[in-house]
Amino acid sequence: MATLLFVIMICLLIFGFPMMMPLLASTLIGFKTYYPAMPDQFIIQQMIYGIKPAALVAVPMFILAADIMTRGQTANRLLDLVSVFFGHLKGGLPITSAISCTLFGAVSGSTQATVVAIGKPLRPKLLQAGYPEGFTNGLLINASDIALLIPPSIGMIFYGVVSGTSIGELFIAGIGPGVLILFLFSAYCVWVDHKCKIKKAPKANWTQKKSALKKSILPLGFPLIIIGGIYSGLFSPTEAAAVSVLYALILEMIIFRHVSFKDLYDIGRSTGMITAVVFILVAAGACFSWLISFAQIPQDLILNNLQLSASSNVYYILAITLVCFFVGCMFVDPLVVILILTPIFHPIATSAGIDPVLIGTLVTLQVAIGSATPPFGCDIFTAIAVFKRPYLKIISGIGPFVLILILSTILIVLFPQIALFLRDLAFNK
Amino acid sequence: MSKIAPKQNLLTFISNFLNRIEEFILVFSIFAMAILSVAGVFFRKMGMSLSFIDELHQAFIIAITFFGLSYAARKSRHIRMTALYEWLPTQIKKIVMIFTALITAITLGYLSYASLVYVQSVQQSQVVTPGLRIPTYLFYIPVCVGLILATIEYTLSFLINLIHKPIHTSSLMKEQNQQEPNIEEVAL
Repeated sequence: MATLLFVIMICLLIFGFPMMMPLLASTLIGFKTYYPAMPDQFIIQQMIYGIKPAALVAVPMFILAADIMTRGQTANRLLDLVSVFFGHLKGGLPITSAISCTLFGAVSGSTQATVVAIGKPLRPKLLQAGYPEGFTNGLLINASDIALLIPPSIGMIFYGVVSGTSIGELFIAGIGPGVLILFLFSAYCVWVDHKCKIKKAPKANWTQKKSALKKSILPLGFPLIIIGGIYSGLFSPTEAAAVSVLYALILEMIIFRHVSFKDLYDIGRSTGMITAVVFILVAAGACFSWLISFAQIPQDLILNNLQLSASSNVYYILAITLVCFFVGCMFVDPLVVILILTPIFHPIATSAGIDPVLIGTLVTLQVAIGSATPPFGCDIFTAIAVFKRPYLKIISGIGPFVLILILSTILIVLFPQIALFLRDLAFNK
Repeated sequence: MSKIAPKQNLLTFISNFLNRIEEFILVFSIFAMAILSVAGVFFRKMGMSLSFIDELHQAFIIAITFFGLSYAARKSRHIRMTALYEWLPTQIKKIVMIFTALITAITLGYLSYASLVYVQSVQQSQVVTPGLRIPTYLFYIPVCVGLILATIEYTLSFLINLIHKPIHTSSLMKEQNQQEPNIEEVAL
């Protein structure tokens, strides 16, 4: 049965079917072939149950907040702030890009929103300063991926819902790895700057710094609400999402007056469409996961094919789990990979004694790496669309960043406290 | 991808009409959810827990997902792995597009039927929601409507690709050189 489902999925993927189709069609065919006596309504029931969890409400709300901010002034003001403080340093401009992507990731939670809002305006500046195109593209794609780790992370919300792990704990655990990656990226930027002999930008004076700080104080309220609110226990992730929407509306409509009432219809339409595109995958993924669990495919795969069990070596379990997520995202949308692979690997990893929050953080990191890795990582195609550059130009500089991200994974596996320290502190574990 | 030329025919008229309705439902549901979420936070902080908010959220999420299914199909915005498709010659692409639209329409058509049977069984069970005491099946009607609309959209797309020469990625969009997308176009 596993072979049949796999063949159907691959064929439909290759032919460019909408990504819900490989999941729906293989479920339907698997269902009809192996369980013909079961009523079809089970499929519809599982689809509805897949999108019912209350925690999922946070997803459209974070998308809505990101959409309001992307059309407004938040991104520009954050970018100005980072560039007046870091722009004059060695590797200043690329470091500014990496920090801005991390900061915007912390307010929007979306990799794609970050590529559009930060990557698009910074790319011409980096090229003009003399940085190689491959390095520039690789930096912007991979730095935007830090958004997947820094709260609010939409990938972590889905992982939390599917695996039953606390989303609040996952959010806080993502901060350490996000900062580590930012630090490693910055070190690489300094090295490239040195190698390419880029001229330093003039240092901003205190008046410019004060003005940029004043302008960005309000946008910096987003991380305060989200991270501070969850860390202090004031908000749940869903409540933080709702407050982010309210804050984004007040900021962009009343204070900055950059978004008008007329824009709201467009914003609602685009948020609705992005939500639908994501949630239909969640619904389709839920019925596919249900079918494979019902047919006991994960148990068969784990015990017989991968020789994994709760008594296996912890590092072996982690290695297999992380490689599967990483390779999966090189080919398919990260959300689909999370929906299908989490129910397979999460139980075995937790029963082997690995902290579920650590697995969630590592899995989200693999999803981020895989999405930016050729041949079909979906961030590569976002970048092709946003930067309007050919495939080979986009992927030419990705290698060093992927290596840094793999190094970060190894560091987190060896020193789990990078992820768990803040979580333990915040949740008294 | 760009919009079809203003030359209107019956198929594009139907598609445009459905497009407007779905668009309105999406916008209404998103902002209704936002208002309810914000209100929910304030009520909870005041010590009042309103269970009906969670029920309405579920209803809106179902409406957004299934009305959005056909809307995104019409706008050709569903996530697809097009890397290999892009390499194909135009004539093969056209055949693949016809085949894709047909198989998708058949699958969604079958699921529409299954959803009608499911909603009917929920209706017969006379289950009501715990907070609002509304029959649960009413919340599931968008599942049937959305799946039927998506089936219509993929059928229209199949027919338009059969009738017209250029490749149409949906009933309203035809394939052209990629244009610069905005946030809406680079869905998650």
